[in-house]
Amino acid sequence: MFRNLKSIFKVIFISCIFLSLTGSATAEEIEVTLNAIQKTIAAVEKYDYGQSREDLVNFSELVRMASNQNKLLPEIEDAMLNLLESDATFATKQFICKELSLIGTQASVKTLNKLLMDEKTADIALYALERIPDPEVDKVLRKAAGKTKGRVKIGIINTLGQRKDFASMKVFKKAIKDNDPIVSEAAIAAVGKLGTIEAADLLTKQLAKASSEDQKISIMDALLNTANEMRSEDEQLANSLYQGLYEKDKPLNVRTAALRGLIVTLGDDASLMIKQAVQEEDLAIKSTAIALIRELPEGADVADVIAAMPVLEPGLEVQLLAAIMDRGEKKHADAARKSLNSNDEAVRIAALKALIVLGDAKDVTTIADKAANTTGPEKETAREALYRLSGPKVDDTILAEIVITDVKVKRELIRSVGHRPIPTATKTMLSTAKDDDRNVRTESLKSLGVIAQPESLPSLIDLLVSAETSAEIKEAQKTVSLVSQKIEDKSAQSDAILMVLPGLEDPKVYGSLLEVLGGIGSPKSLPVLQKSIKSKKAEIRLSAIRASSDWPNGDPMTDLLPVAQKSKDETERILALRGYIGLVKKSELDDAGKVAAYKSAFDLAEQINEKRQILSGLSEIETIASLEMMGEQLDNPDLKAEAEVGIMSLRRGLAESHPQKLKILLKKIVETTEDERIRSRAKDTLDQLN
Amino acid sequence: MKRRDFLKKSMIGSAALSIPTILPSSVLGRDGHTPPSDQIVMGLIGVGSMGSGHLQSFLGHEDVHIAAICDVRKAHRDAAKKRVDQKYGNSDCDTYNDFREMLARQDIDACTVVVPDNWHVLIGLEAARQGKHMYYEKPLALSIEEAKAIRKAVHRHGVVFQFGTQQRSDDRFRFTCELVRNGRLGDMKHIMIGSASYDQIPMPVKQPVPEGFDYDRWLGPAPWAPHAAERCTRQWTLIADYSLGCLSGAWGIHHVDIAQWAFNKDLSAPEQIEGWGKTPVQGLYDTAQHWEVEHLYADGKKLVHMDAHTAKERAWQFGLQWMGMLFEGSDGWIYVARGFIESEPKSLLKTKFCPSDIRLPVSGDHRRNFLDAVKSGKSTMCPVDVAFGSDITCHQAHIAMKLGRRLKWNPVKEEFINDTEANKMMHRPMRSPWHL
Repeated sequence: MFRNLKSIFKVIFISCIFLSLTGSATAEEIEVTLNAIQKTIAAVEKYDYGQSREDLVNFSELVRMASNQNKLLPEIEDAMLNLLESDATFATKQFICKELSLIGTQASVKTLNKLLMDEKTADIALYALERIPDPEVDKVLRKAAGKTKGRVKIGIINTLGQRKDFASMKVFKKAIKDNDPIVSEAAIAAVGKLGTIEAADLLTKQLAKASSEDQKISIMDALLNTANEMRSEDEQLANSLYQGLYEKDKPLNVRTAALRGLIVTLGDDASLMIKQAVQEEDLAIKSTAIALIRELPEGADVADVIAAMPVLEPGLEVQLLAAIMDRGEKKHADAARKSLNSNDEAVRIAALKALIVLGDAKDVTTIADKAANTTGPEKETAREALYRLSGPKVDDTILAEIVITDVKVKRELIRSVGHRPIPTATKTMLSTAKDDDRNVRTESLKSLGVIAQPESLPSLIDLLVSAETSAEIKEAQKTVSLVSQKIEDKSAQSDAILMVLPGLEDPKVYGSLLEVLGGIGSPKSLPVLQKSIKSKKAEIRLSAIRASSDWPNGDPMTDLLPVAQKSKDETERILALRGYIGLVKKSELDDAGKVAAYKSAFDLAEQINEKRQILSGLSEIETIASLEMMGEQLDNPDLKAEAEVGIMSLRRGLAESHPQKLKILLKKIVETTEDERIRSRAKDTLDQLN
Repeated sequence: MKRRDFLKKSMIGSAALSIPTILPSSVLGRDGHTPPSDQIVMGLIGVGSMGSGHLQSFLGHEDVHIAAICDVRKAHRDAAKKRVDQKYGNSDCDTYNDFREMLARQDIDACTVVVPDNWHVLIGLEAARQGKHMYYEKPLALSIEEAKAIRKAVHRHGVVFQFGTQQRSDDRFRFTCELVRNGRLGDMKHIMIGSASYDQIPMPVKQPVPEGFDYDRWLGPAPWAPHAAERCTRQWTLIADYSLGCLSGAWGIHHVDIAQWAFNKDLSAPEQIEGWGKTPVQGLYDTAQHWEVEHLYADGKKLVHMDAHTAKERAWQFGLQWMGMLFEGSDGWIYVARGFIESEPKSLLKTKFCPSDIRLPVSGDHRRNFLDAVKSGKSTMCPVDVAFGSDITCHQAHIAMKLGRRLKWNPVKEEFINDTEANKMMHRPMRSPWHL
């Protein structure tokens, strides 16, 4: 695919010659070099669209290497010009012009001018001329503008504009009056790029006598461009242009752009301008003015601007709050606080967002109240505000409020403890985890999972032991598990639980802690699970099965399989089998071992869900055995769909090693599936295999 | 003409700063202007493979009304119109072949720009000129000069701009950037990117232009080339006349944009660039297929941008998931890709930030974020200045790769230092009648 060896040698050869030329090359060496260059150049002569680009790539590399070689570049440029003058294809000439645009000099101008005067080649000539910096180019273009029309003339004017040729004003003036509106538009745009007083004057006069509405719009756009170009050098003049374009007879999009320009150039008067603009009736002007509050210089009297706002419709109030927020000046927080009481939800949400940046500890109560007593996006924004509100006393205020506030607000504040997070709040959370309100207790446990450290584990285990509802037990289990896993030494993560287990008498509590051990998966606790799975107490056995199923690797498989095979209790059998199936994937068994394990499980499975779970696991093992197992289920109406999906998953991996078996199964799928997408994909694979 | 004379004589100069007279709304502004809090009227430009995805999404937003469709393919236009009309239960959606006609409509507030890369800037410039907010697919531009032009236009007209680098609205990427910004990976060694690559196809033969396809307008400012259906499919993005290829618009810019975000370089670009690239010489596609470019920022931070194959040879983590980003610091690494994140140590992924940490803007939906910005006036997740930095980084890579030498970038002048050829490559001339 890439250039062949011969080409590489060619390039290396040329590189060597260049190197020799930088030293003391002989006349003979130079001649050899030039011959090599000629050959490379000649090779591109017959290029046409659709052919290999190899010669073009070689040529480009030659040009790149020659670009620092003063001795060679003129020779190459000359050879390129010869190509342009020859009968070379259009594709070749287009390519040469692209290259010339990078290395061309005054020497290219004459030849390119010839191409310019031919409508078929004018575009490629302009491509080259536009990037050649020599003033001769501008002279030729100016002349050519007078002799051409239509698309060629437009191209020439565009190029002169792009080159910012100040000496082309006469050409542009004439072209603006051209009968062809596109020529005229091009000339107006070109003048707009110059950014001079003369350009501003010409455009201003032309605006007064514009021949059409379209031309007026082009001129105003060019004037905006001019003002923009002049801004850095002559702010006052730019400002005067903007003022004219802001007048009320101008189109709205011109006025809004002019207003932006004015704000940036008015300096200290910018605030006044905004205050005036927001009094206008047009919503777009008001909206632009409000957005421009962001642009007011640091130290501007933004409070005065805010105070001068008329009664705003909700959409604009949202924009005002966003602008104040973006300025990030906390002194304007009161504006946001005021808007929290708006009748409009979007405004209240915008105010909450603004308070994330502008607010402080004073806002904790109000925001928490919103989080507790609103719904939907407003509630979510209030919560986010509570999580992200910054300031020196925010955390302290949250903790102080938790003690005194009502239940609903308390819940939100406790929730924020985990989200912010507040690491110093463990003591408070351990206390609220014993609150009378169930939801307060649950939220406290959640936050403790985030902030509590391992030294709090005994207290957390106590909470688990005393948990009243199954939901609380689950939450406490999660908390103990999360905090246990913060112990760096993995083998010690279950120590705290193992220490309390022997003293527990309530099987429900004992079982809860066993389940936590399963999630942690510390090897030390595996013997406890193994013993518990044989307990005489049903509750403990079930918890041990659940814990073993959660184990992070396949080690408890050998404990679960006998239960799945022999237990007299159906629930235990089903749970153990599910756990066993889940662990196969996590185990370190090789592919054959995993398939065998799944097979044993499949033979034991009585329910369709377990069988589906097994087929899903098999679809990840690319072996003929798993393919065959799934193939056997294509006739089973309850498992057919899963078997089809599984076979489709395996098809790529097994296409090369077992094409015949795969073909038989795919053919069956094509003939029997009810899923059109699967049929189509199976057909495609069959076609490829055939 | 002298400046003083101009100021004196100019009709424009005579306007003084004065309190405007309040006029009735029927005189001022456009008819039927939609209040910012209400519905956003949109026109969609480009409804091909990617554009139809945007159509589907925007149709699902209750506060959006799609009033017009523009595409140079009649079949695409008609199919899109059908979907819109079906959704609204009428036949009101208008169709256009020329984006300028559509953008001139006063009732349209916002548009999408989902067209071949060589058209992005021209449509963006017209949209800005007409005061339209835009959801603008990546890349920003086909050249650095074009990128400067669209940035200037968006600023001048103050329109809302959302760049289509939607990974900024993806939790995994944002979270990774927050980890980097807050020093959770320690001192950053580098960010490595494994972008897309492609499989070549044979050079097609010239084919007649099918009815209902405005091929000349499809080419637009790009150099003329004979028509072939293969040229004009979704893979135009691998052809150098229309795109920088996988390095930028065809994926690369997504990850470059995230690297800029993580390094807190949104408003700047690397200052030294060096690398290589391989482009096939046979077949239709002629953008870089494999490459490796190293970008060095002024503060020594390093970004290595590669195609995914090259990246996989450089670091094993690229085998975890195709086309990802590797952030390596003194205290660990993170590998993130779409739908995938992995780290060492694993605990990095459980990091909780507190209010004093640096937090980045949150968005769960890039298009929704655009619509919200249109309403609130707030910045989008990826406004034009940010898009500019990411785009320039891709252009730098492209030019350094083409020239095969180390380049230095002046961030103030926004040009290469002492390299005439590289600076010339900052601009691409356009086919008449199109111009910047």
